[in-house]
Amino acid sequence: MTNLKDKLSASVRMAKAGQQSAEQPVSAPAAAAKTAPVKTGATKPAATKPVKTQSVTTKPTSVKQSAAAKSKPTSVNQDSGNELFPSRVWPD
Amino acid sequence: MATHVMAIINQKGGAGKTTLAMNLAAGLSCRGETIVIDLDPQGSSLQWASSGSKPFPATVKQIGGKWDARTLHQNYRAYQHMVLDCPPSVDSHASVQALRACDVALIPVLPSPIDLWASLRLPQEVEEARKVNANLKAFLVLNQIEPKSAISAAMHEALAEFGMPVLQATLRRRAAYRAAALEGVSVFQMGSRGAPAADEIEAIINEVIGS
Ligand SMILES: Nc1ncnc2c1ncn2[C@@H]1O[C@H](COP(=O)(O)OP(=O)(O)OP(=O)(O)O)[C@@H](O)[C@H]1O
Ligand SMILES: [Mg+2]
Repeated sequence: MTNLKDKLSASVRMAKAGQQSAEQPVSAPAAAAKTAPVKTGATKPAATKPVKTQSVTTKPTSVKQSAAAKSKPTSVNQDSGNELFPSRVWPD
Repeated sequence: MATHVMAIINQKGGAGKTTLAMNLAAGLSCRGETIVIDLDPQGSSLQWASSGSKPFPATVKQIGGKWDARTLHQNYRAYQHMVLDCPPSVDSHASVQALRACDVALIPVLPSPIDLWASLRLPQEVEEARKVNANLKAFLVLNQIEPKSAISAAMHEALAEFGMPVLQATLRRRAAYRAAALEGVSVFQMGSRGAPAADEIEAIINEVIGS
């Protein structure tokens, strides 16, 4: 578990470092594209009044935890450390 | 009152942008007139809203072409809440403008290393947008969490590497989120089937609005 945490965090650090070094040669055109002048003209949508016809009214309350409570073991599955999605994956 | 704008954005496809956008919009519609702007040429939000037998609780409009933050605010100022469903590309005109136009950017991330790596550009993009949108707030949101999976548990630590705040509220992987899209409704309209998911969406709204 700790191992997986460390691995995941380390992989992010590595990806970040890789990304930064990969960006060097291409950063100029990318930046240029991003700072291109903002056009204020054409938009498709016309100004409209809201056309909402119905609002959400149902707000069920007492449903917390029922699904989680149904799930099987009480201790964390030892094998789940290697699984992206362990078999019991659908809480409802 | 100015429209409150949330952009749901990530470079990574399939992270849950549309799922989050549509359900957030439904939750927000209880608080005031809400519109979802579908910025993705895939048009998933629009299709979602058109699939139901009843009207979706928020208005959904798809826009394309060139637009900017000012015209967006002007055109939809009648709404209290606007949710921008961005395409899976932070370089796109839509995503760049969305970050300039929004008050809050939410970045859904799945508990998977590949999704983490693919999302790493977001902090940079947010910083870039802050040059013209100084008050922009941005949060990572964990989506499709499996409480019993070790990789889900490891996500909080890994996300710390992004140097960005992470919402405490998360979305679990639930059949209800998929069923909602299929039925053209939000999880709020699914009764007890959607209730746990609706609670999660409410928690996100409360955390974001209270931030
Ligand atoms: N919390 C969740 N639980 C279960 N399924 C989910 C959850 N979030 C998203 N999904 C499913 O994952 C898939 C991708 O979600 P979605 O379309 O919302 O992602 P996206 O980021 O909008 O994708 P794209 O980049 O293609 O626009 C969909 O099938 C959706 O129903
Ligand atoms: Mg989408």
